[in-house]
Amino acid sequence: MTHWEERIDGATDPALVDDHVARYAFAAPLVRTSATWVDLGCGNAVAAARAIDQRPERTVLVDVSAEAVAAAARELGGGAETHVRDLADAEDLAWLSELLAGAASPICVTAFEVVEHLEHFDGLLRCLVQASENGADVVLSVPNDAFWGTQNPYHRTIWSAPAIDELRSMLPPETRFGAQYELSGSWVTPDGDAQPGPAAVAGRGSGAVPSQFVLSFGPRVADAEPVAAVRVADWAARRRWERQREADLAYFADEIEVLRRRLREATTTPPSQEPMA
Amino acid sequence: MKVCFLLNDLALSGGTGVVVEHAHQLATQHDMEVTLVVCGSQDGAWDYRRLAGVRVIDLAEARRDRFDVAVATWWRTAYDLFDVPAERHAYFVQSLEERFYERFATERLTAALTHTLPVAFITEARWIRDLLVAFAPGAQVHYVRNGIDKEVFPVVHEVSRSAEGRLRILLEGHPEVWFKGIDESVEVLRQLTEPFQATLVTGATGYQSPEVVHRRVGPLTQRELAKEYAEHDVVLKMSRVEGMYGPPLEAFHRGATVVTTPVTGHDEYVEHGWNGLVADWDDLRGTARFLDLLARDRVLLHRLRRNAVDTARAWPSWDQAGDVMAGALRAIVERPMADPRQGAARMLGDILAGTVEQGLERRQLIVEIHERRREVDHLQGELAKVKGQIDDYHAQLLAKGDELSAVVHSPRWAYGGAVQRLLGGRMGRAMGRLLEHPVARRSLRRALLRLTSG
Repeated sequence: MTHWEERIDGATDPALVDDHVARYAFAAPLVRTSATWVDLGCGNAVAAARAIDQRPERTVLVDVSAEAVAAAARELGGGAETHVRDLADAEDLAWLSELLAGAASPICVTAFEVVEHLEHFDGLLRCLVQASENGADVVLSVPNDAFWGTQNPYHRTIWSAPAIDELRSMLPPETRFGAQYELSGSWVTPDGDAQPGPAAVAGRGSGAVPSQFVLSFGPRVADAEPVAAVRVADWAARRRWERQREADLAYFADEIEVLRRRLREATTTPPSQEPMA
Repeated sequence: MKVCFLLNDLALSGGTGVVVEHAHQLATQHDMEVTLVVCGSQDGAWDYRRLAGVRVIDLAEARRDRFDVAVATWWRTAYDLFDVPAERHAYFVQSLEERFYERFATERLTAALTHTLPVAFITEARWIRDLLVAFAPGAQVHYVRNGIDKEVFPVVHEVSRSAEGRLRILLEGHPEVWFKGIDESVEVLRQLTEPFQATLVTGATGYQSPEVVHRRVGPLTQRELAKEYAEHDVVLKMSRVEGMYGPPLEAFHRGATVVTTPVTGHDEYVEHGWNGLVADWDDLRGTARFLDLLARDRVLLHRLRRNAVDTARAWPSWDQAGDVMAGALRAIVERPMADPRQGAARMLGDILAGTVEQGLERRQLIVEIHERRREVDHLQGELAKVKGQIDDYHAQLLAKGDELSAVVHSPRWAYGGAVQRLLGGRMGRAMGRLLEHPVARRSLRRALLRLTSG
């Protein structure tokens, strides 16, 4: 899904939140059965809180933003370690390697929509590959930005199927190169009851293109199952989100017009003549 | 980490530019100690800001050093690769370079052999990666796309509408390099029916531009080239061999689309009908019709150009490409070396195939030599005949000359001369009148005959 936000929060498009929820739901079985869960680039943990129903004994939340990790700890309900670290920084990566080497096994590391925010990602990948060689399971995702040709201003690198291809030779041979597809659909309920029923993916169009690439490697990732996080659309939230965006856009468009007018006036008005002495 | 790239020379070329850019990224962004080893000519030093922080040495000096990984970059440098002491040896394959040479050129074999060396491979295009995986089973093959210098080729903010006027077509390449297809491009231009304006960008200074090329520029710097792309609607490329196929992608950054052959590398980013048009091989007429279509349908042209810009926006910068190259080199150093036996069978097969091909060529040459010899023998026979005839003529001529000489020196010839003189004076005039009478004429002839024959 195309978006231009840096992180998920309460004002995010509900469909985009569901997008994130699905990824955490994919990793949930691994997280649930781990002794340590490390969530890299945890953000506000809005999606993690919805998808991860059972956390392991030790939960480690890492993000570059102190504000985000604090919000994540609140969202997950306490008991989590929080660390403010830059995953493109060599010292912080050394810290992460040490943490992963010393943590209780089994370890699950999630890094959803993180890699594209880093100035350099090769250090983090090496660190994660090393961790998987020591027994950790790693699940990470990157967006298929290139398909739309969009450029999120917070993304430092651009990802696509060829970009994922470039990683193939660098990641462990057992790596699963998964993909996430956006679903569209509708649900008919005979009694008008909006309680969710069993979800099923009805079909796949010939032009299906992944919205995200989901890579997983480690001893237990072979057990990961496909997951579809489908729930009844929250129209109330969607209406709020869309109207809010429309109102904001209209307000700022108007303001830009006013500012342009002022600029035109300022540049076309001749400088006031000083009275002759 | 200490890494070196082997280059044939530092002359300005696309392939060298890619290596220099990777070297720059590794040295400045990834804390690697990077050396460029020049194996061939030391001329034409790369006067380029990207060399800052990168050591440049010759092969002799490299032999005295030691590296974590040494990387060959052009097939010829692969022959020097194992002279450079290193923990790991790798080969950055930018194209299957044997394809640059025409059939029976010995370089086809010597270049092809390098693809089965027991080294790790890095390449910039998926079509090359897939072939290398097949050529060298078990070898590490890393796919690292070339980045684009987004400062030199900045993505245009907005594609300007090219609603009217001639279709602005740009041709790029060296006309004397057969696989660049410049002659075919010119032929396509000749078959256009819609108005167009064609520019040829080439480094070939001695080339006589054909009449359909309205403007010729070059050699150009990369920034000048970027400006040219921005001033054109479409790049026409009829190439037959390409590696990663950089020029149309650079043009995409500047808002031009492409009409191209389905050349190797085009599938890295060209989507027919989305950001460019892909013509069939050898279909010059069809290619011309594509350009005519763009000249007439300016909405389609605008759509292709806009999508080309989107494609360009999503293409990695050199920063991102540098990350992947760093990752690939580290993986090469950290992983065990490929089993040299894996590629040995393939290499032997290649040598055998190459020698068979060379043998065929040799046989063909021998047959040709025999034919020529027969022709020469035949011609020599003919020549001998003609010579004999000439000798006969000479002999006859000499004999006649002798006869003539004898006549000239005879007393009768001298007497004849006296008569001639006599007939030339007054006596002659009188005789002339006398000879008007037929009886006198007959008598005089008989008398003269008696005088000269006796």
